[in-house]
Amino acid sequence: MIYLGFALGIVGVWCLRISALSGWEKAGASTINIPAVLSAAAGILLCLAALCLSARIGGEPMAVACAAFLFLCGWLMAFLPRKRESTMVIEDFADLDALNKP
Amino acid sequence: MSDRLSLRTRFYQIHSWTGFLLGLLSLVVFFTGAIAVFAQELGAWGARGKTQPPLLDIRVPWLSTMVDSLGGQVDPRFKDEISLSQDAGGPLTLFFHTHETDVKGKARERGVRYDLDVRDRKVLLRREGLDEEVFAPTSSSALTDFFVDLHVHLLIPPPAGLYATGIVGFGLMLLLISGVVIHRRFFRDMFRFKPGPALRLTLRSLHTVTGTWLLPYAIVLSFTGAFFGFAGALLLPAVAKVAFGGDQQKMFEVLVGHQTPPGDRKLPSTPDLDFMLADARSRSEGVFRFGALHHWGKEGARAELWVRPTQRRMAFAKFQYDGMTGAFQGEKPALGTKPSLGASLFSWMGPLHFGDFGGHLSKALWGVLGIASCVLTVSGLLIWSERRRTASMDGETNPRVQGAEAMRRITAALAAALPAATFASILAWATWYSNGTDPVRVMGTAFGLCLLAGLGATFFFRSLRTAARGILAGGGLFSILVPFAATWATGFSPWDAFSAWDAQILAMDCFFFFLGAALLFVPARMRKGPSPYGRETSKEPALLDPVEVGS
Repeated sequence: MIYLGFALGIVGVWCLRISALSGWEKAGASTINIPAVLSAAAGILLCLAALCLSARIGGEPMAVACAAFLFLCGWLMAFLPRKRESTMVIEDFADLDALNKP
Repeated sequence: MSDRLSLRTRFYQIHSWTGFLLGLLSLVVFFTGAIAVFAQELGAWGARGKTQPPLLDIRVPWLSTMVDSLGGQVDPRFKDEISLSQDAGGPLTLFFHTHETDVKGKARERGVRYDLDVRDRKVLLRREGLDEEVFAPTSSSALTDFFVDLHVHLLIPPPAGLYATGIVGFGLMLLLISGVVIHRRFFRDMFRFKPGPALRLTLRSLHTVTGTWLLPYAIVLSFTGAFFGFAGALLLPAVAKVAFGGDQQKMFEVLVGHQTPPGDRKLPSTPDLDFMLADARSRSEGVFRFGALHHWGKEGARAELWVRPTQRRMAFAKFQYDGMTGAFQGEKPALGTKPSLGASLFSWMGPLHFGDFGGHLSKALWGVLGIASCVLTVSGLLIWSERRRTASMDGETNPRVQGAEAMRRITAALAAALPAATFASILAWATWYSNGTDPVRVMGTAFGLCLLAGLGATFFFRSLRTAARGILAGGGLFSILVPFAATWATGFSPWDAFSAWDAQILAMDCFFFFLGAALLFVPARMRKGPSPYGRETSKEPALLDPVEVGS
């Protein structure tokens, strides 16, 4: 029962992952990607629910542990393989490279 | 727009140079911090077969009699205060002492320390002198003391060591702020680790993803680390000087609360300490960690018990009892006399920094996040050196390229040698277990020599890959040897742990063995396995490939 919050949180972080990887704007258009926004909202709500449930069951220590666990899960999920590759990271770093030039 | 870009550029430079200056120190602090989280468990593992049960788990009806009996054997002035403490798996420590100041006005304690076996009330150790002398490490406490001291002081004599770790805390806060300013697309990039066509891009992606997810953890750890680094050495003396004319004793009275001056009249009997401990347990369901008996056996005596609540609360609970009647007087805030936001924040700082608020679960999380912080530091340092190295790939030799190459090698050496140095220090502890020599000094020497050997290997071997492979394999071998060395030193084997069903010792022996096997396996993968960077890495030198400076 005490780890129910943790399980709920994993689902929440997964929803955030789906949303972040989809992008909030549709590719090639300036219209908002509704499923991605809904997924982000669901992810935030599930993470909040996970924290509340952990706090309710295990008090302050479990709530803080749950928050740390969710951040760790998110970090690990970033290394999972993705269906679509993006060049966005390289573009962003090109931006950062520009900062380094005098 | 140009102003904004300019601001970002400045923050980028701050981030880059702060990371360069404090990166190596941060790496050591993070790694040793991840180990120090388990310092109590390591201490209990080192006790092997002599593990003591927690004080609140057993009844000790003889405790009051023992305190009175031992109190009769010490100088009466040492009965000003009696502190009781117990580390996980360790004996109960009683410290009869008085407070005094040295020639510089610094507060210190002098008295007699007794270590007691809580099961059969045997005195295991007696030491007399100043607090720093009586609490000098013993063979059984060396593992805990060494790793905590390594993290807190980095083996640098105080107070310089505390300043160093405090500066790392401040530097980390600066890195976090500048990192947030220069990289603002958190949500979009937080799930996108992307090995790029160049190593530098892969490292940057790793650095960004790790930094984004570790941000809250790093903020908490850097703030509390900076506080602990400077509170005792600078902050409290400064407050004492400004607000209390330099009188630290008066400052503590205000911070902890003014207490009734004790009378000189001796009491015919002292209250039952075992009853107080049982009462504290019933109020918190926690683990006893520390107690203080003030003016015990005299008029105006009081007892304070700190208990770590196992359920529902982060901070320690501090219960106060009347030292004359044994009556419960209430729960006191960690700071001041009345509950306040400041006292609550203060009481959360320790648990949040040490990660011990939720038992093994929170400790495991803090340990893994600590290792993730090492990934963040190493990737940042390698980005710094790779950028300067690859910027001059046209074959030009200059101090900039040579400096970057040296930094790359030092970073790789430290990252690979830290695990080996840790296991080497545990092996040194096992070797010197019954020798009588100061085990912490020997452990520190082994730790330092191992780091130096790692550093030497990375400069001796032309190929950084070969050097890192050797250092990691050495660490793996040391790790495998650790359970055997501990068995040889203490005479308590993993089989004995299995027979006695001591799950903690058994689990840690297995952990050392399998971690060692994994570290031996990683170098083999580095030789035989495919490049983690894919086909495109052929265009760029791999992270651990040899580099010909200036070729």
